[in-house]
Amino acid sequence: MPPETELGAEYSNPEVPHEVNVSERAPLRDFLRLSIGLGLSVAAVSAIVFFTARLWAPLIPFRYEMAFADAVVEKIGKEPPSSPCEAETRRALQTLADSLAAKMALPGEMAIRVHVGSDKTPNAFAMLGGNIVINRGLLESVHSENALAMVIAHEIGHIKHRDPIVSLGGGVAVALLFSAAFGGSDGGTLAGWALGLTQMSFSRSQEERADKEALAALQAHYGHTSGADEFFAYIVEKYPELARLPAFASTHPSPPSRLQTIRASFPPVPRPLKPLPGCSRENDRDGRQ
Amino acid sequence: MADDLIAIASIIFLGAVGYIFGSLGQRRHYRSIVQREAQYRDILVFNEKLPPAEFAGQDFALVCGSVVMGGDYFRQILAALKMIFGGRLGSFEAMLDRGRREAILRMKAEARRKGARAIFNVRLETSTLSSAERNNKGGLPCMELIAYGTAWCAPSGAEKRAS
Amino acid sequence: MATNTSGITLSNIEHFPGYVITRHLGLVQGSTVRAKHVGRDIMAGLKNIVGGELKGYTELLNESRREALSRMQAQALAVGANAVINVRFSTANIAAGAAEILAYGTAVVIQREA
Repeated sequence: MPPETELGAEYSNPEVPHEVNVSERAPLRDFLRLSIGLGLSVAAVSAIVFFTARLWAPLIPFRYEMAFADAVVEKIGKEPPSSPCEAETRRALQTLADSLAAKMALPGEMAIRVHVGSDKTPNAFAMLGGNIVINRGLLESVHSENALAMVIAHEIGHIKHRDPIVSLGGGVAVALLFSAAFGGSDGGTLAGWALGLTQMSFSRSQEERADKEALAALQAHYGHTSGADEFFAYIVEKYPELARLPAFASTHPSPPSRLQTIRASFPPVPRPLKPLPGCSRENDRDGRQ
Repeated sequence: MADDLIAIASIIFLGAVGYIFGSLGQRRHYRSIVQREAQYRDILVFNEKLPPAEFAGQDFALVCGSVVMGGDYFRQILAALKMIFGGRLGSFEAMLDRGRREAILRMKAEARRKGARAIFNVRLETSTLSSAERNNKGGLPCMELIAYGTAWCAPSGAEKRAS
Repeated sequence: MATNTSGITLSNIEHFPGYVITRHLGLVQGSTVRAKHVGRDIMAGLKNIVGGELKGYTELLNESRREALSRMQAQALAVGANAVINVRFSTANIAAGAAEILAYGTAVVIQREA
């Protein structure tokens, strides 16, 4: 015991219990408990956002959708055209899409961007942010501008009604949540993962609405809807099994019934059709020779 | 994808290193603190302004001890998690407790060098050097802890009075 | 003299007319680091737009101060004091929404003058 005498007995420093000021007991257990808690809360919030997204996804301003699509879907339209002919085709498709869009009363900030995909499958997609991808296979299986216009107008119809974001709504919302929470590159990666979990598919009513929009656009653009059935007739002929798949039939109007709807709008006397715009296959072949 | 794995692996690695070496360092520091506290027990500290009358006319001097403490990587992540849910940040409490006792010990060491017996009007202060404020995710808490007071030399004739 | 549940009187003055300090038992301190949950941080952020009292933070700091005092009183009790005089508070922010509150003073034994 050190002497307390020098200062007098009334002055001393007994040992104080310092441990009252420290409440760390089991940091590893705390860490596990908190991580699990955080994981569960994030999962719960994501699930709620995912399952309610269909209700509020169309309310997201279109410019956010465009910015998000540019950030996530990086590859679209970034590769340079492989030939002058290809560049000309792209320009012609964009011009056609723009003149169709002008007849479809799109909301002000909405812009349509057309891209040519290298896939040989005859198909076209409406994607996030007003992006439309037309597969090379589709360009090679139609013979008139009117048939092509029908497909493009159909996809614009989807975009007009915000179908891509409603379809991807849950994934996009969770992705946006992650980008907001983690920011920067981590956010982008997580957003990509979240998007990968969802697949774009449109409901029967969305398809029917897009068909109706497209027919109206063709009527306004050409003055008639002749030739609008070409691509669907081709699909029915080439892929008859599609219509019979139960899963496919339950979400899509079957191609024969779409054909009926389209043909019902035809004028009594068929009108002359326009040739395909842009650099045609024959020219392309000539160019390569 | 490979980048993500590397990032995750480095977080886990740094967390493990932080936990192991942080805990070892904390234990060693506490051992040293307890040992030096015993060694400096005879230098008394009070935060009363006035020393007793016996000190009248004795030498006095300002003494000061300070230390800058940082949190380890693991406890920083733990604290970040805790700050989402709220509550006591126990890992920072240990850091500050160690720092404050260290600062008091350094103040006492200076008093010992000056031949003082007691320190009066002791003040304790804490300041943040860099905080998570600037960047909510990466900010390492870094605190300076200071203890200062007026050290008084032993009154003459204290031994006489005590005997 | 007013005492609270722990039996340790607190004061931030050091001379008490009518009382004598019979023993001076040195420095005692209590501290705590606390954070409010994110929800409160967000509410405080919103409140900051219009100004005025940030109730969440007032409450956070009051709770912390109470805890710091009671920890300091626990130390005083352990050294056999019945009062802590010259009590000082100091607040330091550690991170956004987390703060350390420190209370310290000198533990003493105080008696009414006979």
